[in-house]
Amino acid sequence: MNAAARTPSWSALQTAAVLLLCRLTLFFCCDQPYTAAYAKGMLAAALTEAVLLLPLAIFRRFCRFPPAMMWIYRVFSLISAAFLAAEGFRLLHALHSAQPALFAAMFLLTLLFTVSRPQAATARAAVILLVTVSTALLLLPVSGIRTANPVSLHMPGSVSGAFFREFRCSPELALLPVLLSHPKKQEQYAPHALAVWLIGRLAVLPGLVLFGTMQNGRLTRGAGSPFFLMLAGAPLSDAVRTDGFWMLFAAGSAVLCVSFFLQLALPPSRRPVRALLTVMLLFTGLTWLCISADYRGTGLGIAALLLGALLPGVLLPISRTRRQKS
Amino acid sequence: MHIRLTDNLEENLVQLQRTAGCSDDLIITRVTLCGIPCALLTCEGMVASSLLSELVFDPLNGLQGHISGGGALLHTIYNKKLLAADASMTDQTDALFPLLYSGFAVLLAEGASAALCFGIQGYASRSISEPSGELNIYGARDGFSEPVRVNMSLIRRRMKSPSLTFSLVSAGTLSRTELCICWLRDRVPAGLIGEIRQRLSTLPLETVLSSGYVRPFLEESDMQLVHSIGTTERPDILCAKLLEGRVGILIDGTPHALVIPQLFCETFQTMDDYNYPPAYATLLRWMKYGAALIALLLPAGYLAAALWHPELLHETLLSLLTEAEQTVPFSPAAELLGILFMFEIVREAGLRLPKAVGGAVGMIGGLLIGDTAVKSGLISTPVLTVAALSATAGFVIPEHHAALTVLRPVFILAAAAAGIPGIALVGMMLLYHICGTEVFGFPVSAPIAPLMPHRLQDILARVGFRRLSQGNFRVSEVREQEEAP
Repeated sequence: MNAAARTPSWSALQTAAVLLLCRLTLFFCCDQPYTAAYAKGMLAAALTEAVLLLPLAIFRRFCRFPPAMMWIYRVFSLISAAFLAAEGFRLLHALHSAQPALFAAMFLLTLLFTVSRPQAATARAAVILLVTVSTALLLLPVSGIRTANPVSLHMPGSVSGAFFREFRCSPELALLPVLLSHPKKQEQYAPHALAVWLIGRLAVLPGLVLFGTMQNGRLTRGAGSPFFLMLAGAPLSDAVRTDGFWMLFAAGSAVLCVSFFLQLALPPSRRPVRALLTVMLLFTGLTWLCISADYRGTGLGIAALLLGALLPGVLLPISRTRRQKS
Repeated sequence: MHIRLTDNLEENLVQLQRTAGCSDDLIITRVTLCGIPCALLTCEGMVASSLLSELVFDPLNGLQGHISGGGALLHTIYNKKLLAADASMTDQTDALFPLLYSGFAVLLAEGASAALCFGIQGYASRSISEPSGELNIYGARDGFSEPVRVNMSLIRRRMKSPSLTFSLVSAGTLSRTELCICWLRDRVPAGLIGEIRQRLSTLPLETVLSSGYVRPFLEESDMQLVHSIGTTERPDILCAKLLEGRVGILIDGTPHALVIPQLFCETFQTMDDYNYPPAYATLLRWMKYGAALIALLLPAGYLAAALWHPELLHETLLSLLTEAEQTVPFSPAAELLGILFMFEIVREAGLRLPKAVGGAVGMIGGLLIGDTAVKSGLISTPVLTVAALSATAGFVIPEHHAALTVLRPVFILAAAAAGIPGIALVGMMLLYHICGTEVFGFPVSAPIAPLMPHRLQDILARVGFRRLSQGNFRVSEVREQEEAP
């Protein structure tokens, strides 16, 4: 999975779009109440990440990982895919969806299709999705500016909690060294990708949280776009279900991000077969997670997910490599 | 069938008749020129009799003097007599028959092991008329016709630049159909012509009867819902595409030219967009985008809202829908699928019948069946309204009619199964399908993905010609953008 074999034609914008969508997916799956402290913690975390990533942008030419070490990234990608899928299904469970098993089947069918498509399709779809979402998100403040209440910004909250949650909800960060080592035109590629990513992380997400916080007063009146009720931290079952656009985007971006991680993990050769094996095992785990309401079922579901992720994606290539060596 | 002609005229004629299966449309006229027995071969109905008389018979009858042998006779005619602009000599029967059946006259002579062919085509064909599938208000009224050479002239009349190049190739092992590749030499991306030629030369087809025969072999996959190669009946549109560095393929026998590549966004553009004022054209373009979304998603969205997310609907609307659905024996999903299926039946029936009858079928289908179905309580009025709106919106973008017809039921089933998240899943599959579609290295999702912000001025809006002409679009930019950092 060296950079040359992975994404020979990905542009900086496409890489940044996928990275931002990963974070946005988990942002929308999160049911934490939005407060000013949340926004501050998010901003602080994004700044810290930026500082940590600066050396990567400067010394990117040294970011060449030995192929033997790449299996770590494969495993991590698969775990991230499972994590994202599980978060999506947890949300579905919270929404009291009437047919989770049917949705799970459709979800995995979609994954099977998307993973079998070329990686360039993921990159292009990410840009289109991000542009659509950004346009829609930019329109929301315009429509809600009249009801914004700055007094809500003084609600109590934990900055440190938000700070650490940011790192926990950013699995894509660990992949940056691999993603940013582009084989062509390296001098411009990594700074461009990082710049777009930072704009999204530093400006858009905290801004959304702050604006959502300022909509808190609307909860009592129950007026306006339901999206703001969700941003303001209303219970998921009451608020989230009522916003069609949010539901469209959350499910779509979850599919894209899980596909991205799976494509990153699975070698291009025989990908359809591996994808089939992976999604079938993931399907078992996810369905288990959906229908179980206790710790035992949840644990078994996660175990099945991990097994599904590791077996076809990592262990099979490793065993094949060993056979070739012997 | 690599048989060479001999210097014996009778042997050649017997061989040619045998190869043609003694077909009755092969006409052999025996003459003696300068004392040498000759035979003039033509195909019934493929040559213009007036041209044959003026350009061939008269000059040949005027030949005088002594010529020693058939070979010398043919060379004299070929080199010294101007019988037709398109003349050639061949000594192979497999090269001779395609010319003969394309409207060439073939002259054989005793003692000559070659044949002289001259083009005097004059077969009957449809005159140039307005294309029925791409009507415009302000654009030109002429459309492509069936003969490929007529279509070539329609393009040349609009583009007198020497950089416009036509190249004739044949396809179909039996039909030997003429295909004409046309491009502007200084604008076409490097290597594209070679790739197209290579694919056309390996077409595993016996016959090419329409553009639909060739297109699948030029596209990357058979399962494409979104075509990466466009078709047009209008020479003005093809010229506009050639200016952007694209390649056109004219096919003999069909008025539809192929355009390589076609980007997805361009399917929403018409020639009239560039004749209207920019503001109006922009409004029309957004109306088309909206119509595409309505055609694709309105039935599914209605179903998702009605079945799974009633909170999305206004209270009054919700009560109206509930009241309407209470008296109907079927589920909304079954209703929608049934109506759309019936609509397709009516549309197909109206399409294949003669125009007068087809119109009547449409009226009966649309009004009578719809009205009686609602009155009898088989379907509800809101469902019928949604289906009718969706179907009508689909006609705004006829290019996508086939894709919409296939995708609409899929979205409806997904919405019935899982509501809006279900629509999102199918939508993602569609997005991946579009984004993954390429042709000769050009992604059809450009200029949105890869993002080319300066090219969105003809996608999100239709800016004025002064701005459009500042940086003319070249299709090669798409490839360059894919490789940019």
